[in-house]
Amino acid sequence: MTFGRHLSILILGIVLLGNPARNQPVVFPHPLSPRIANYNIAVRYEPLQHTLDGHETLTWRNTSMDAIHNLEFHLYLNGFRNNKSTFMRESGGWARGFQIDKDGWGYTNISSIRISSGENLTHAYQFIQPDDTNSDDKTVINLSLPRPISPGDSMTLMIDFKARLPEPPFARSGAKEEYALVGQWFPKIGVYQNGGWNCHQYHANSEFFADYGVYNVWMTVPSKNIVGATGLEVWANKNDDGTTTHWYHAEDVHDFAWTTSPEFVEFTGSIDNVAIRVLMQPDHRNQGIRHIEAAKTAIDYFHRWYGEFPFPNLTVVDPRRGALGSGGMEYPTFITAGTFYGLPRTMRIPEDVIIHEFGHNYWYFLLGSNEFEESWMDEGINTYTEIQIMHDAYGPEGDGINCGGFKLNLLPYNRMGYINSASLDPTVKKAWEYYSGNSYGINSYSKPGLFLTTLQNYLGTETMRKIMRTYVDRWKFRHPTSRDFTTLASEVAGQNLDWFFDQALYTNAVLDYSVDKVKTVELAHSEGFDFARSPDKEIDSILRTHAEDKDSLKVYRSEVNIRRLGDFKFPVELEVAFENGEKIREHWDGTDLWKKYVYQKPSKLVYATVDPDRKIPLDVNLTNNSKTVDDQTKGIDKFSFRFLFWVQVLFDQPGILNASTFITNLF
Amino acid sequence: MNYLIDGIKSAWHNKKMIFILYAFNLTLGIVVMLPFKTILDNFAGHSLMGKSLADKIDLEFVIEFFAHNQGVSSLLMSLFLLVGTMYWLGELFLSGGAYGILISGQPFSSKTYWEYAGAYWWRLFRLFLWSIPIFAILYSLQFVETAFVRIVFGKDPYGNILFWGSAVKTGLGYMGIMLYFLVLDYAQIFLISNDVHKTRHALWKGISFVVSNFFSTFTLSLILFLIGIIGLLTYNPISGALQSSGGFIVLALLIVQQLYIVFRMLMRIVYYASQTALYKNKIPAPQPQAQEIAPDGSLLEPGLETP
Repeated sequence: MTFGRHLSILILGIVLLGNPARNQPVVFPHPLSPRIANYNIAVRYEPLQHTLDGHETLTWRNTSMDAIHNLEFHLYLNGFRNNKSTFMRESGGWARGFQIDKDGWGYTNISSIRISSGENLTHAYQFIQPDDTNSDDKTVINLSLPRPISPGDSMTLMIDFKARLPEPPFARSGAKEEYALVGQWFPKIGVYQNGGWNCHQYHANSEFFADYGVYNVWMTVPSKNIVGATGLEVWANKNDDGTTTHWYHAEDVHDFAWTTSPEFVEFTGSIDNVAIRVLMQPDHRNQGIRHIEAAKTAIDYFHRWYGEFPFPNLTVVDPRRGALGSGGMEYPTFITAGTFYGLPRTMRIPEDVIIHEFGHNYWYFLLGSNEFEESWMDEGINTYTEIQIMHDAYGPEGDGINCGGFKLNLLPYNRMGYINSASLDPTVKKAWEYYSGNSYGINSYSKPGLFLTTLQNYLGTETMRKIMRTYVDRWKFRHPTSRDFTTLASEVAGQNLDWFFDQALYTNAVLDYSVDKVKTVELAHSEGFDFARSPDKEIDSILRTHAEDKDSLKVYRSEVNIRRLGDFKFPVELEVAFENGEKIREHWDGTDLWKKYVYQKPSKLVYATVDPDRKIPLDVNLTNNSKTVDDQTKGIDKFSFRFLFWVQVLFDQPGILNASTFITNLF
Repeated sequence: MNYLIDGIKSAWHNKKMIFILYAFNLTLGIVVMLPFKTILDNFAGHSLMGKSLADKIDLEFVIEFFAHNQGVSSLLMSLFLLVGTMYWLGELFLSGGAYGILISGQPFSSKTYWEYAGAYWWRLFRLFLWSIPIFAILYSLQFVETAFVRIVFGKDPYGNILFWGSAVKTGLGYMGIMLYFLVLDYAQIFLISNDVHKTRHALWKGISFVVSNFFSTFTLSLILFLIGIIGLLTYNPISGALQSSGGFIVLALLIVQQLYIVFRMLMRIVYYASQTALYKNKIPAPQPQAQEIAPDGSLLEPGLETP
């Protein structure tokens, strides 16, 4: 970094940040959010060193009833500062399948902090560790103020910082060669809530929480570079030193990320007054239209099912090869996807990722939930909506993958993860306190996706959509909690749903109902003292009440025992089928440990099954849901024959054809 | 093509060998299948999920099966590896018998077959051990692609280069395996034709034969490979059509599957026989005769008496 470059940032800062309110465009004449944390940031990117030189002006408004004596800030990139940070200790140095290169450490260093009155607070901050005792962690600072900020007042701080992006992109953010995905990059104020600061350290298993505001960001990059960012581009001005400054403006958002690369290939489209811009890698350019179509699908479904997307645009970034650590990530109006050259259309990875990441624009960016403490409220609700949309848009069979006879829906995919580790933790827990990363993933993504789908099947699709729409409408641009969501769900559904959410959110209870026993035997004629040999009154009476079986002279007593094997109590349906084709549906509230049903009919019992319509994907064992009176030899034999065949083929080495034989005969 | 026709004729004359190979394959296959079937039966033998397996494979069921039978996959894998190793050793044994019959030109008889199998097994096993470095070299052919991409496109090639490069790499990998088996097969033929005990020498002869007759050996192998592909393409739609749950369909699927396995065994004998025909044509050599097997398993020169 030369003196000239420092000077250019300074001049830029003076010119552009002197009175940003006077210059900035207006997207929403009436603010959508409380606009508590408002940032103007001028930053210059050095592509060779992957460093950022930034000057941040933060105007923070005290909306609490307390006088604020100190501020807390996140310095997220310090999570990659060394191998002793809390992030690196918890992750073991791995995130999203990537490790930081030997010299690829990232950081954020604050060089000065001043307040608008000119007082220098550079030495008034200290690193704190609110979540653990790791004194090596430098991802949160506490800044003591010379005088308190009174309720309703604002304070403006000028912060100069230098940051370096990790290489390769690691845990969402970073740089690889000419490409950079710049996320969690600037000193970001925490959320003052309930009489204290909610400003957690950067953990391996956690995402974020922030207050809404207005962002003006001036990014200076080499002129050959293309830039994409949160919000709208106001202008791009070429500088004399071969760089260009891009001004982006975003209102009522609580984060800001951007990307730059000289190699991006740009595609555009629009739907429902939302302009879509896709920045593809050159080797993926033939998938540009596919990405546009996926983004349109996402916007269209969310718009119709969950409410209006208020922002005018969306940018989708295709991460560079070797930089997938920055893929599949969400920022306001700006998401990253991820694909591969040659990926067939029937493997809907980009579609799924785009629908998922766009979903965060509702469940995290319209609804400012706390991902540190209640990650399911973003990832879990988002997984649920992702399952629904993928099923409707690309289902009913193979909505995730439908390739060469291999069909995979997202719902069973999510069950696959869940049923293996269903009871490790309750859903609601601080993100870094789960039993393992796997348990965090299951409880933040899969389990909520499954229990909300179960709830939808219980309440009905329309009621569930009404709940979600009302949730968006009532809580947008605020900070809802789990209790806010569950209270609202009960209100909209018109019934108290605490019995469901208390189990699903706050316990590790597993849902498992089974048909334990089925029995069908011919009803014996009454014998012994007090009974004449014939006619048998009981049998005659049963035969008379089943006039449709007029040819039958026998009566069968059939018994079905169903059990609740898990702690999760949920009402279930039971279907009991008889030889004459009759099917009976029973409803059980599911609270006792077991229930027995007895039938006396002129027809034999064939099978009994709980949840016959598969409405309860949260059930961890669908195989024990049913029991047949007779052995199911045909199915077992056929599957065993297939297995035998695969073994025989695999044995027959050298089998150059083996791999293809195996795959093409699997399904 | 003449070698192929000779091979088919020869395989037909010795068709009992096909059924020996098939019976062996089926028996060991059943050894692995039976525990699996028992576990499956216990898990889903009275469930509608088990019933639905008669229609098609339900991925959700497969997921549940392994989730609720933890340890089964490792048990099956261990069993597969154990029985697979036994199968491979047994196949080496059986191939000795087959080559012995085909090279000697004698009509098949059980006695002769098993005598040849016993006489050559240990040497064929040693030959295989010596061939492992050859396998390593030929299998490494595919890394030519890796080197090429690194030199031409650097450490950070675009995705399309990696994609097509990996296709080429896979092709080279297959090619390497084919070449390895060519070498091993002709080394086996040399060993049995000449009744040599020095297996390294046989391996070298196999290599030099393949190199000096590359076009004919490789073409023959390729034709048989393509016939195998045609067999696969014929089998797949037939088995794919047998998806319903009727008892007859289940039986029909089993028959079609087993016919396909028999076809593979037929192709294996045709392969042995065609290669033998080619070898004999290129290098007429003294051929072993069944009655000249010594008690120690080695073959005697014609006319010499057993001491």
